[in-house]
Amino acid sequence: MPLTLKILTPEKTLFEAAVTSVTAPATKGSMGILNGHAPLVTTLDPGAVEATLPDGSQVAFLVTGGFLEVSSNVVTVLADTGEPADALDEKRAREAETRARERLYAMRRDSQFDLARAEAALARAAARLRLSGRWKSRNPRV
Amino acid sequence: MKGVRELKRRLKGVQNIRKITKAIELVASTKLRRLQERAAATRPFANQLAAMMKRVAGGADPSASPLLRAHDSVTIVAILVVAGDKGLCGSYNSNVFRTAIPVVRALIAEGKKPHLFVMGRRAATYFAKVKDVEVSWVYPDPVEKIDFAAVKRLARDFMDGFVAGRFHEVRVVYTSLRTATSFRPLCQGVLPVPKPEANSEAAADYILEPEGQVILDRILPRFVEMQLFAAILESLAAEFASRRIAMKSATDNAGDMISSLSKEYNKARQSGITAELLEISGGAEAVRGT
Repeated sequence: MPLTLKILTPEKTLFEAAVTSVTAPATKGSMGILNGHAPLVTTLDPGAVEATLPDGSQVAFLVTGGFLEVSSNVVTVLADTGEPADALDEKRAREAETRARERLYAMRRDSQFDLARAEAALARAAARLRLSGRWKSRNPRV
Repeated sequence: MKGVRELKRRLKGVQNIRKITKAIELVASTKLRRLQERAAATRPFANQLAAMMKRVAGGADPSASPLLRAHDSVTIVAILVVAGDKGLCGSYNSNVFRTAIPVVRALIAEGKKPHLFVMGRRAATYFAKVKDVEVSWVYPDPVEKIDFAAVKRLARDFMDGFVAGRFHEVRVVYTSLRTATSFRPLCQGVLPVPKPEANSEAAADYILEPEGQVILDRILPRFVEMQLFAAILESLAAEFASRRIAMKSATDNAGDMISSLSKEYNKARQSGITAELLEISGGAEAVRGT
């Protein structure tokens, strides 16, 4: 049975197809999944879920966190939000990054909760920029 | 002939009403279909999340998760009432109110304090008129336009309030839709989240990274969000289903009325003509007679 990758978001199913390998931004570090991986549940950080299709081509999705489950050769990603790499809006991501950074500088250290939120926003924006840069260099527009 | 003209006027009026009800019916059935698709698209995520929660619950201590822990004394109960912005949808809105009011009154009778959060203009105007019920918050936008981000904010307010002890319980009154013609309002508990039954034999087979407790604490907020999202989408679909049925019967009734009115109109017109003919032939007879 080949490996199947499903990427689900609360609003819709983003991707579902047979793949040969998956890499995902697990909280404990980036992880690679091949055929026959042991059953696993892990949390994801903001970052890129990338997969190789049987024909050798690559697909990449930006997720802003979520969960990943491997069970009998089905990799299910439950993403908080997700978007395909080629649909990333670099300008918006850069603006969001600047905003989050400014907020972090201005932040009084006693408001724990907002600090966590601003840090999460920064991590999301940085992950978007990383993937978007990488994707563009690998797939230059003709 | 005044009767004929009067009948003609009424006939026109009913025909216009039928055009309008027919149009509303068609729009409602399109929107119903779109919402059913939207609700269906959220289901894979929700099902998978619920399954995952059971899987990791075995390796976690439920009492250590604030969203699972019931408050010792429950005095303040937040109730989210999901209704519609518009009428012309049969008893959809009033059925929601009829379900919500006893829940609220029962809480008051027990000496508890219900805090009402309402969605839908209709609900806002209705509860403003109910003397002993206080509304804490009204959803400011059209319910129909709601997206997941808005539900997420709402869910976060409820969860923050619950953990901070501003509410000791959160419930939702919404309309559950089973098929396009069968829906009913019901009241459901949201917080504390019912303890997930650990699927112990499955949990042992899974590698959990990080440990189950951490994963569970990240799943729970998503679970609450999905529950509210599903409740709101289902209510919206039920509103359109209800409107479609109400407008269909209105269109049918208008059709019946049109056929009986046009029969009456033709009869009146015919008897008018007959009377005129009689007069003419009577007149001619009289002329010939002389």
